[in-house]
Amino acid sequence: MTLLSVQNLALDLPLRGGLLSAKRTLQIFADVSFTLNPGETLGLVGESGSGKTTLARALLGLTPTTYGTIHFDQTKRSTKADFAAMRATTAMMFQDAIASLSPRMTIGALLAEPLTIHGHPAPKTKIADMLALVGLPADFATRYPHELSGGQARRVGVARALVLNPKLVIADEPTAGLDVSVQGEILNLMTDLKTRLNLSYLIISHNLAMVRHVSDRIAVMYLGRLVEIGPTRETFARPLHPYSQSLIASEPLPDPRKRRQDLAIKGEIPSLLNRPKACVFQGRCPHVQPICRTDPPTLREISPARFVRCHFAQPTGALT
Amino acid sequence: MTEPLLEIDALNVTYHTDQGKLSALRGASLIARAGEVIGIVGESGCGKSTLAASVINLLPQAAEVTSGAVRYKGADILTLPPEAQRALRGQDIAMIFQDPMTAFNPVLTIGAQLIDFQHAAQIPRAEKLARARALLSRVGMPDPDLTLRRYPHQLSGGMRQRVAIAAALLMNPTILVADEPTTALDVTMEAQIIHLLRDLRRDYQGAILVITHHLGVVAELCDRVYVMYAGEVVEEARVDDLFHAPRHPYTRALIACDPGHFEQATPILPTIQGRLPDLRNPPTGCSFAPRCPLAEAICATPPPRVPISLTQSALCHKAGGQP
Repeated sequence: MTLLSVQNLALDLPLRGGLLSAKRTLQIFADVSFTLNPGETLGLVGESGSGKTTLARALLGLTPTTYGTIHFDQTKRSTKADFAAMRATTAMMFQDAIASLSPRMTIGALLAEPLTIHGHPAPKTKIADMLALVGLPADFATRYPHELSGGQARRVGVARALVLNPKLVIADEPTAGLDVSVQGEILNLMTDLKTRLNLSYLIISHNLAMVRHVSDRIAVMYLGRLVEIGPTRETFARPLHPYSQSLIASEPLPDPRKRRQDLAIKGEIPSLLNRPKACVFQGRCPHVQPICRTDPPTLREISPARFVRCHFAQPTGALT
Repeated sequence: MTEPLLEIDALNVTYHTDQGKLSALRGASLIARAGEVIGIVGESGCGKSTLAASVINLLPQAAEVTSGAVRYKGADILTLPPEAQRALRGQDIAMIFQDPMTAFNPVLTIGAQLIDFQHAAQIPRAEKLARARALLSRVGMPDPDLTLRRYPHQLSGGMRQRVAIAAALLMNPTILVADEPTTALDVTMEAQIIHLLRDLRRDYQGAILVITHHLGVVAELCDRVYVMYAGEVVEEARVDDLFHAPRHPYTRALIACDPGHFEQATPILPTIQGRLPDLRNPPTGCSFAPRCPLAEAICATPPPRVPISLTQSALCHKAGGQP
């Protein structure tokens, strides 16, 4: 039984054309399909501009979509009312923890807000329980966001996400801007709460080393397409899509004996306005063939549970 | 061993804040020789950016150097008259900033700015332009002539960082200070910038100082490393020793926390319990002691700088024993 099922989701935004030019659209993402099981953590990785954050917002109905379906808890979600009901049992942890907390509200009021919005009572004991759950002292309820450190603000973000007892938490860059020693604390807290509360996570990040430790499965996004989905361990051990391969090979390792000698990938992610036709990765792919410029590859299951969007990907990791 | 190009000697820097004096640097020392890539690593608030800013004496107004010296080729640049300091900046000592967007003037083309940066050079404008073009192609800009006509906002983050590196190299500086040069970039661009800096060092005779919180960047790029904690250099080592035989408990804890360090996924990541000491009232003893697994009674007294080898030392009472 899946908790979240996304089929062929696409988002095109209208571009304002010139006076005489035809109306154009800008494709943000397309053909996004994946599922998330109860209690599972899916890591969504990709570089800036690949569409990760917009996709996350679209999943909760915060951004409209142009095509495709979203099922959450066995129910199709399409209207505003559907998504409003869905948001009572899902939660989002926003990227900038301090900026996502209103500077004029106390931490107590910020934690009560989701309850009030969804028509639940918000007693002080509940607020104190939530603070205790994320390891903050109860007197934090009277503090303001500017009095918090980055790590404390993240903890408040976690508490705020969990106050409605969600089934699904979408965490957008949950550790961005944190020092490594604090990053571990937040991730350990999230892992601990996941088991205690049977949560599912969708964790969005560009930090591969972090995602690797917290995700059961990993989805790699490039320029608005999911190019690879698979179990985390196998995907890191043997990435099958040429983009995943170069992404994993680009990560600097904290060991001078393992210095990367060759540059894994050249060039940079193209602008959404210049989206390549057919395969989106053709411009940077070291294995590009004529067919990659004419036929768009589909996301296909290459070996059990491993999906890759590439004409040439093989279960062995070779590209022929 | 060659004479150091740069020598920071027991530098103490205090910030005057509304809440009182804050000791940002406490006796920090560092040397850099020609041809070396030096890493300065630590977490937020450890003083690494203050140390970098002092190399070029661009400390904020609220900062005061209470003691110590920054010697460039033997002369203390902190005591030079302001004009002499200005002459050093950009010519002898150049800096690459974290955010290459704010390092450029948004209303001038890249070409105009790269020519302006050479104002001290007594050469014709055409030569300056040619030099700018040559450096843009050296840092891997695909179309240098087009880049010269562009405005900063028309370039991507990675491209701007390449241009910033070209700008820093224009006057052939002897010391290049790069403050978090890859932090604002995605991993594939980060790899390209690391590659470029590594490539540059081969034909660059000066010293490069890389300030970063990212241990992966240090491992990929640096020859020697200074680890900072609470305004002090707690360990100094060659890069291989730092990662394979660290002697200060903070260095060990920092390396252990890095998720990139594990071959296999671990459900629980290591952390460093506790927090940084308040630098408005710095501890008299070891500043890491409250968080240190090895701390004993003696750690309440100032720790000695224990030499481990010619190239490695640690500021720790317990560093003398076996690793």
